[in-house]
Amino acid sequence: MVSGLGTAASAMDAQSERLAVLANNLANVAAAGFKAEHLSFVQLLTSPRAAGSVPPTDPAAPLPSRPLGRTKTDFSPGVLRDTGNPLDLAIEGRGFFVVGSPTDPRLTRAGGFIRGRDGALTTPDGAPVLDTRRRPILLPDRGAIEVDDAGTISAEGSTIATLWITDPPRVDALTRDGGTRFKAPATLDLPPATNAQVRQGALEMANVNPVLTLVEMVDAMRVYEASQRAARGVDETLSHAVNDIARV
Amino acid sequence: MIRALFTAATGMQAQQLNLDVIANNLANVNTTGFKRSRVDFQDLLYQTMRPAGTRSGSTEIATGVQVGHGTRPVATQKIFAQGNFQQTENPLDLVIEGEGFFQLARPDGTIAYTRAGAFKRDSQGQLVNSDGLVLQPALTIPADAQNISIGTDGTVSVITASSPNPQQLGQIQLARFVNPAGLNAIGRNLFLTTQASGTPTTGNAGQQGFGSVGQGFLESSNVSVVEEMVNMIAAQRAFEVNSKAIKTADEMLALANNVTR
Repeated sequence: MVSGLGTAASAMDAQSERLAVLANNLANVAAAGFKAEHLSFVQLLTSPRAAGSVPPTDPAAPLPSRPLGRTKTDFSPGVLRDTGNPLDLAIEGRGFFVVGSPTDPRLTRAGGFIRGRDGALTTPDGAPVLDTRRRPILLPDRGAIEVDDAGTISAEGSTIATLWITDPPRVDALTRDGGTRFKAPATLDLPPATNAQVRQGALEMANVNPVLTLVEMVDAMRVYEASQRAARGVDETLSHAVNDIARV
Repeated sequence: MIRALFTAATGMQAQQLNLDVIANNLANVNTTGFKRSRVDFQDLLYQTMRPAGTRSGSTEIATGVQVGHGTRPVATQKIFAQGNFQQTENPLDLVIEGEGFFQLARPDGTIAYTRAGAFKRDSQGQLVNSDGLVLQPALTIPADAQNISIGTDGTVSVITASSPNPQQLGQIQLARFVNPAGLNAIGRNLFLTTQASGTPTTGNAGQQGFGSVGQGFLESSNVSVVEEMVNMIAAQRAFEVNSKAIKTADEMLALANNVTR
């Protein structure tokens, strides 16, 4: 009986967490290179009881106190938008730009780069973009910057560096790190991308689909409502048990 | 729940800033030498509620739960793309074709940089901008000048009533930055150096990567009205969709309040 209340509460918790994820997707609808996140509740169906770790008949088996979900990043490509800005780069196909420190790099699809103070190619918040030799890319202070499909940067006909574009074998292993960047576990190797083309003067927009996200939000809201009704139902039953039966 | 409320609020704030920047771009669609701005957004930190690789019962979780906290504006970037040239026939209207800025001396002695080349003569004959800031290096046009010609390298020569041969007065120098996007825009078409822009390199027009000077033209604003309109629509809808998230969170909170009567 009381476990019924707990189940309803955990369902409500789950939906509110889902709303938090959806709200984050919507908040980042204008962040270039942002990848939408989806929360699913696979684990809830295989809770300790069902997984067999606790005998199914044991009425004292604890129910998960919080919903066991998992967030999965949707790495599908976003729409490319022409900006005409020579330092806006987009990747068509599979791959990530590598930014940050050479020993602990971050992966990103957000290619709105700028020329930093010392002439290095950086992200808007100052993380250097790395080349294939894992070094920051220093841009010359004159001449137009050209970037070809393979990510080779040149100015006035002379090659400066080639962008390090990697296509890790398991994108599922990447974790989110803020700043529209992903952190790769130390064990994951970062091989060069074979199926990626760089587009200069374009930005990849967020891959959030506002329509689907709104629909999902309505769904979350209604499931939440239904769970709330369930909680009230259990409460009413309990109320009968305590107040009416006890009176006899 | 409360998290969703604040997350969506960051989205609304971001779009509000976006619209402010778009409005300023549109307001300056006819401003000589104006460079449009753009806001870059990034997602905020993630809260890892369950790290990947932990165990739940007999199963190992392949991917954890990471919930984000919304978005933040990370930079407003000036786009220094060339604006269109507008012919004015005025001999003191100058454009820079390519990289570089005109240098102007401010009253406090510091140098400001501009792309707006609508110069005038002040009472002493010095070349100044519309606000009276003196172009550097200072050039004085004689009072009896009849014909002023400014070459693509910035050399200023005049023919005066007293001497029919062209007389060279000096050369306009330009300044260039490693990172022009890092300049601090102070309004009135002026930019100041910052740590991010680096120190300026000065030189003659048309040489060593400097743009050349064109006489009788002005550089119009590089704002594209159509593009800004599209951006405005997108910003408005993104604002709206975030307000829907707030509304949903609110409704869910109301339901939670109704579990107990």
